[in-house]
Amino acid sequence: MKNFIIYMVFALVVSLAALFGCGGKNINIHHAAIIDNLPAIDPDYTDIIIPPNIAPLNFRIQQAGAGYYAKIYSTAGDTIKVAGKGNKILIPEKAWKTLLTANAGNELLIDIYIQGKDGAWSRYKTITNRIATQKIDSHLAYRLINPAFNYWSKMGLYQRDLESFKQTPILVNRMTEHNCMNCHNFGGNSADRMLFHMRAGKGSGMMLYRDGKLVKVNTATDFNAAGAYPSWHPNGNLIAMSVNKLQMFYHSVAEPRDVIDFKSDLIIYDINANMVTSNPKLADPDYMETFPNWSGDGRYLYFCRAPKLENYILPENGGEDLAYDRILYDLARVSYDPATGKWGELEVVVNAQEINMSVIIPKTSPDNRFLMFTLSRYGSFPIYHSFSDLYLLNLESLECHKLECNSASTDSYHSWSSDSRWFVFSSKRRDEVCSRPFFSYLDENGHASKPFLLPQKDPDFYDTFNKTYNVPELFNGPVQVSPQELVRVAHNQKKMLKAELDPALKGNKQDNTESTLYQQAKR
Amino acid sequence: MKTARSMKDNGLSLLTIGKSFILLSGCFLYFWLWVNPTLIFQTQEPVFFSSNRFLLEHLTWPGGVVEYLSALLGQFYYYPAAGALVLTMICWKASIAMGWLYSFFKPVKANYIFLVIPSILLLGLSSLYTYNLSFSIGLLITLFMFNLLLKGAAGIPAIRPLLFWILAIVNYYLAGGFVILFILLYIIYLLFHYKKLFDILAVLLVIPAPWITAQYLAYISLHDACFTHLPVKGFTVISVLAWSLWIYILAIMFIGWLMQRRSAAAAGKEPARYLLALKNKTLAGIVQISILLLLIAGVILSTGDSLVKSLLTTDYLARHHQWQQLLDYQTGKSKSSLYEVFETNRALYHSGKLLDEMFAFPQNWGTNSLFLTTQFSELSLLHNSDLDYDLGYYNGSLHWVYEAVSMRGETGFNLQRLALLHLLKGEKNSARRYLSSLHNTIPFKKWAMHYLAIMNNDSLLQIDPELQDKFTRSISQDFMNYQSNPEANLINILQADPGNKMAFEYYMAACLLNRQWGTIVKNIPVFRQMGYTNLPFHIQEALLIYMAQNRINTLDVSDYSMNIKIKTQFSAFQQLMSRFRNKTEAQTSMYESFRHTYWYYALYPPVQPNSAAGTR
Repeated sequence: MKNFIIYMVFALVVSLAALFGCGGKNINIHHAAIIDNLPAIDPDYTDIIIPPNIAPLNFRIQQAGAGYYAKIYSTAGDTIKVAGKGNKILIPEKAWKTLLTANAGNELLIDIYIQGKDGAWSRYKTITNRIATQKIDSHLAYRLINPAFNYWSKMGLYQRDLESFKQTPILVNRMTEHNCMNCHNFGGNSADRMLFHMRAGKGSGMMLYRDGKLVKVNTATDFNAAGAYPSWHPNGNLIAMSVNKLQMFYHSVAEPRDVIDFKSDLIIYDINANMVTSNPKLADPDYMETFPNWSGDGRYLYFCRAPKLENYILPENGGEDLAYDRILYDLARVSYDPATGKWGELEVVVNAQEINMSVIIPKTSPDNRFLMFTLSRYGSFPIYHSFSDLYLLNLESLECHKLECNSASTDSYHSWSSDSRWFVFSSKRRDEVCSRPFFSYLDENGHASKPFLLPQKDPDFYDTFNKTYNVPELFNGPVQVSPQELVRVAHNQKKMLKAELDPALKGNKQDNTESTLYQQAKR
Repeated sequence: MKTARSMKDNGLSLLTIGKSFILLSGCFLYFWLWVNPTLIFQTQEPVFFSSNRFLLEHLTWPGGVVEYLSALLGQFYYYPAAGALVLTMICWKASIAMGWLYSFFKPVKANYIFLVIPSILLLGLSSLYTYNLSFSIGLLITLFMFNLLLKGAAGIPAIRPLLFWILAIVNYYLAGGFVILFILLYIIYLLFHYKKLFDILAVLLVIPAPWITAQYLAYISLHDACFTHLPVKGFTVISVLAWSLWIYILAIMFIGWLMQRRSAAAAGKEPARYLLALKNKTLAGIVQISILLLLIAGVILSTGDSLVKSLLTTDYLARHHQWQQLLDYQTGKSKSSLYEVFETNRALYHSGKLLDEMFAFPQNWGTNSLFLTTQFSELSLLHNSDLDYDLGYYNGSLHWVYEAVSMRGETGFNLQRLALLHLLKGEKNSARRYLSSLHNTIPFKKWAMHYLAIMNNDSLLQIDPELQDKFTRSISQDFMNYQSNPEANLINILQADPGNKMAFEYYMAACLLNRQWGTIVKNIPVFRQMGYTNLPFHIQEALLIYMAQNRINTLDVSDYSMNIKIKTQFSAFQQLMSRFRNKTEAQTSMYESFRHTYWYYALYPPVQPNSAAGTR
């Protein structure tokens, strides 16, 4: 026993000596040679605009070296000096926060030093980023799921505190008998107004949280199946949704997956009245309407629509073939008077046939100046189209342009920050399969800055993270209700609200079976 | 150094050590040479990554630690000897844990045999290919925790209720539903050691803990937290053995304490009691060994399943592309499971023998055993991906392997396939991500390092043994995949890649199995285009049937000559057939003489079962 204690003390002393010996390593960068290139870093955090409240942009330096060192500084405050952990620059959170807060509106400069094999240090050209004065919404919600084909098993809705690295579950399907959950959405970017959908199993329904009250609603009626793609009216009472019949099909080259929508309509759910309604302009039998989005002032409902599917059936081959790649969705809108609840006339804002492209996922900025949408060659499921890009429509001039933040890969689902200056979008630019959230700053004239990837504590994170970030939504969080409370309400069938159908629509019975785009994997 | 006396004092006689050594050696050899842990790996594909993220994720739910440990130890199944060692150590630890618990029954002493029965039951469980190691780990953790509790309770009896409460919570966190066993053991203990109301209160306070955890703390349902590691689904060999183990441990603890109480009551009058006491030591030894051997034999016999082993062995050989060994293994079988026939057909193709010898092997599943796609099953997904991968239909293969990931997780085999497919599709960033994930595994690390090293060098990729032929097989023409009609897919593949020999052979094999002789005749010129020097045997056999059926003497076979021996055999086949009134009467004779010919299959097509369910 005595010997054991002596050994332990000895081992402790040696360990501490080794630890402090390493920590005391002298880094002499004063005579560093200058290299007139920007260093290659990953993620690419160069020449970007960042919010003053973003978590540290940890990165790794992709140049070979024996040692790494970075100085991060701005106009005011202390310089942050970071010795690389290997080639990783892990920025202390507190010092980073102080620096960014003190320098909103200023440049953020990063000097990177790399030590050669001979021990000499070189300094690369300074990386210059800019700190915006406007903060981004504090949280990002998303679904994490394996790249899905037919079957799903594990998935979860998560919220990430953008001011730190903290990610917590909103709900994971390990708690809910492994069902599907999606269509998470926040009214006015507020955690006080949240909804998402659960499908398959006893938790099925729309989970609706508003001003402290959580309920589960079955939005299916004789007129419609359960809704999807929700959009909150700014008044916090109306939710526009689409009812779709989606089906996946497979290609033999490029991205294997594709999705076709066989039939879709729009419905409006009135929370106070617990009633589903619609309108012939929103549910025209001759058209497929999808992706509703209320304008920032609540006076228009924007949506996408394409002629009904029968228009695309090819006469050859006995009517078996479908010209799926000719289905183009217009951007349309219908005016709405929130005071009277009256709908106005339908207008086609962007005519798909004229541009020979399909307009999908329209989202108006909260300040109601812009509308961002995804443009794809056909169809309504751009996340599987590598040619999808983001476009911006000026709602005053009705002129639109391709955003500068696009890449050669899929750039799709987007969400505005509440001040309309920031937006997040899904991009597959890092690899061809998994979408990642990228952030960009939009200036007064509607021009987007070079986007940056959601920062992670470990810059190697994305190297082995095989799940995809699905439907990123910015909001001022955190979510006000715990996952356990969500489960309690989801599984309490007795208290589920069954939405009423607007009496005006009664007798208008339609196919209300659930769409089965994805199926639950057998366990 | 321990003396023999001190060893004896500790209950470790040389005889005990000797018996233990023999038992453990036997156990190790049994696992290594008979069970073959590689086949367990093949069945379960345990997912484990040596990353902090994987560890931290498993710390967030009750029972996550057990899952983590079983996933870690499960990696060693990949190496047969290492896997056998892991399983042997677990059995050994179980008997050690029982020894700990028995030390609390003093002066009652347990016969050696009682200590090893749990190990024997674990041996039986571990030899079942679908048995999950988490049950063994959970059991060991629980026995260890209960030992801690008894030690603590013996040291400071006053803290017993509090200690129980703490250890039960820790037990639940580490091992999920095994807390039930922990609580039951404690209740039995209290039957003999109850002192205060606090003892009961501690139990009552623990029981709702899982519910409270599920309601307020953990991100897991109560059901999953409690029952994920327990065999609660159905009445199976696993569930019978597992619950027997629980019942045995509970019963033996009850008996131990009961005898301890009686022994205490008779203090001064009787010597220490033994469970299974026999005065004659030689006789006792013989009885012990006989019981042990009987138990081991019983457990082994009840857990052995030659059909499952045959399936897994075939699966293993196919996974490792040991085609000739697979064909040798399957040779002589008159009937095989769907998956075995599927893999045999793949092996035949890769050995260049599909259309020459496929009917020398059982084809009792028709075209189902060529494609599997109509048989949706957790087991078939990666096999479907294998076939499309072989066919050069990479998007199809990608589809199936992603389904396999949804179903079975990021297993090593799934990630390997994903990495290769994305390399073949030129999607190097995705390939790198999957290779980086594999780099964090134990069995596939070296493999991943190889591809990470060469992935940016196209010339090295092109000559890589695994990929060199695959790059030439890519499909550039888009078509829609028919999940439910694999033959239509083959036609599409052939249209997009007319030189695809495997697609053609599989298409011809499907025609043979479906008895579409007319289609085979129409495709004779394609054999010429594909460069076949002779028509394959089974194709010639089919042509002879076609000619006989259509009563034609000559057929344009694109300058191929028909094999005289086959023609002669066909005459013999027809002659034999003519001796009987109908084909039912002829079947036995036909089987004896022609069972390896296509003619026999064509005459007696198998009645195909509707699903793969009955094949395991």
